[in-house]
Amino acid sequence: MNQSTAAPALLDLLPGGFGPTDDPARDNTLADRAERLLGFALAEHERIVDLDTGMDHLALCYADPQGADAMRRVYQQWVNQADELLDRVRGHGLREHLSDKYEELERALGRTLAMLSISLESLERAEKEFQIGHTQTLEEVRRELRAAAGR
Amino acid sequence: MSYALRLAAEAKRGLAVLPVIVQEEALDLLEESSVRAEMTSGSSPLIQEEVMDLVVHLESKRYYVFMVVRIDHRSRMVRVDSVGHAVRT
Repeated sequence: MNQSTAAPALLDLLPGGFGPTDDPARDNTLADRAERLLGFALAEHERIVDLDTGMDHLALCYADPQGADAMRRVYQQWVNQADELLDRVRGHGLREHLSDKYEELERALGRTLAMLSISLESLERAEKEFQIGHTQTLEEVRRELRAAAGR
Repeated sequence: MSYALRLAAEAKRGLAVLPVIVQEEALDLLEESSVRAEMTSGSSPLIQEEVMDLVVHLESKRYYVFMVVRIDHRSRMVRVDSVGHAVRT
């Protein structure tokens, strides 16, 4: 399956909108679709994470930059789609109505974005720092950070 | 007794850019992981790659923190390689 064309098609199942319409039946249909799409996005995230962890957190493997980059692209594509889906759910005024799944997807998205913010170069630098002993205990780090914050 | 916990300078740099409250919560979570590591020592591989994450709500923003950790049961050490984050409203 060509994911780059499948993703927009999937989002087209929930066209962008501006709140509830005057048609309750239409609103119910949209809410049902939105819920299914949120569930779909969550299931997709779980599959991607399973794939990644099954390959020893490939997305974080600086020793295999090609593999890591490919895995990161898979995550990034999911992020783009999930972010747009959350936007559309909000646009239809369904955030409160679907709050459990909405929040779950928001959390999965935030977690993924935080993971992608860690570069492979940073992980490689960390490995070198451990090799040369350029490390600190948790207490030392806590003390320094508190001092820097003026506490 | 919990495992020794050491952070790479890279991990400290990742923490330093976060608000203090978020830093403290991340450090607390790491501290707990060094206690938990002891409990999993018998049933885990000698070296465990782990990721940890947390969410902190602060002033209408959500801070998502992601940490890359390695637990070495031979040397009884938890090492923190890197800390990343994302902020969403």
